[in-house]
Amino acid sequence: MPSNDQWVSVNQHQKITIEAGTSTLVDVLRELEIDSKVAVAIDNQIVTQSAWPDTVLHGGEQLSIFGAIAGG
Amino acid sequence: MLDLEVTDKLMISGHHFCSRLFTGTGKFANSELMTQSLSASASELVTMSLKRVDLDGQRDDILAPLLANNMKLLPNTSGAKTAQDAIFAAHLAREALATNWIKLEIHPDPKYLMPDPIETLKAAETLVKDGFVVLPYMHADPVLAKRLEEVGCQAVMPLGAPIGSNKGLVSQDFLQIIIEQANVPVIVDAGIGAPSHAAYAMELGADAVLINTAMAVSPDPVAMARAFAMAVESGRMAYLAGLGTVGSQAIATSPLTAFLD
Repeated sequence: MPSNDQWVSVNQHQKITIEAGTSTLVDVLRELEIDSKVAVAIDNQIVTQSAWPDTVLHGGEQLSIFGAIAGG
Repeated sequence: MLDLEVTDKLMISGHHFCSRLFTGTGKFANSELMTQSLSASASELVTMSLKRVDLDGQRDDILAPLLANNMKLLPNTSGAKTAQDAIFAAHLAREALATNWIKLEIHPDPKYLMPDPIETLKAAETLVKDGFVVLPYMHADPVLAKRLEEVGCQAVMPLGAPIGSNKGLVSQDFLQIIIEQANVPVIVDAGIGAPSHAAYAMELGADAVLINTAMAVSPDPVAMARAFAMAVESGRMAYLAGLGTVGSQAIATSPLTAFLD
């Protein structure tokens, strides 16, 4: 049987294994231990927080996760 | 007599500020010193940047102490080189920090960090339409200040001198024109290196100043933060009280009767 395991890339260098067609954005963020004070873009399209639980990943997507840092 | 405590609040987009000292969170040695300094400054508005989360390194949560102190967050678009970059950054910031306030800064030149006026105006126009409260970092250009105001920016943030240069109000003559003509708050941002510079900006009629480097890199940032708070308050009070006119001849303070006569 072919495996449903696929991967998504996160912030250009890390790859996270997902279950294609089942894993959601929330699952990936949980695995990365990232809280809600971030913004996420998939393939450069911002996904609003309310849509995270319903955003199913299919593999091959590029996730960008942004958070606050010190700055002037 | 002025009743400063009651009447003299700064309002931006319906939000009241008792303190006219805005602060940045960059360059502090650690987050504890940052928190103590910002607390000593009594600032109610703080800036921060947005970056890709470092998945491997340690994640320093700068937001928790700011939110615990009830500070209003002003994310910036630092790193943006074009209007398109800045618009994307603003939308990311709105998602990450749950605020529609944005400090719009677009400076493609890494040496002097001069803000790009054309890209800034383009981005400001779009962001205002997208529902943001836009506070643009800009050169001390009176024409641009009016254009930014006309497209709906809620304040303008002209520079005193290049970011982090500590040179003070190099742009003073043009800041004065901006202040004279503005119908939105003028926040002098960048280049202020000493409390005396901040006091001077306030005496000129600036509505607020934004300080980061001068505070953060001081050997004692907490004391420096307090010094800035006092200077801003002092400068504001002097502006409201009304300064004397500058003349080139002496005008006696005491009666000029010759007491030996």
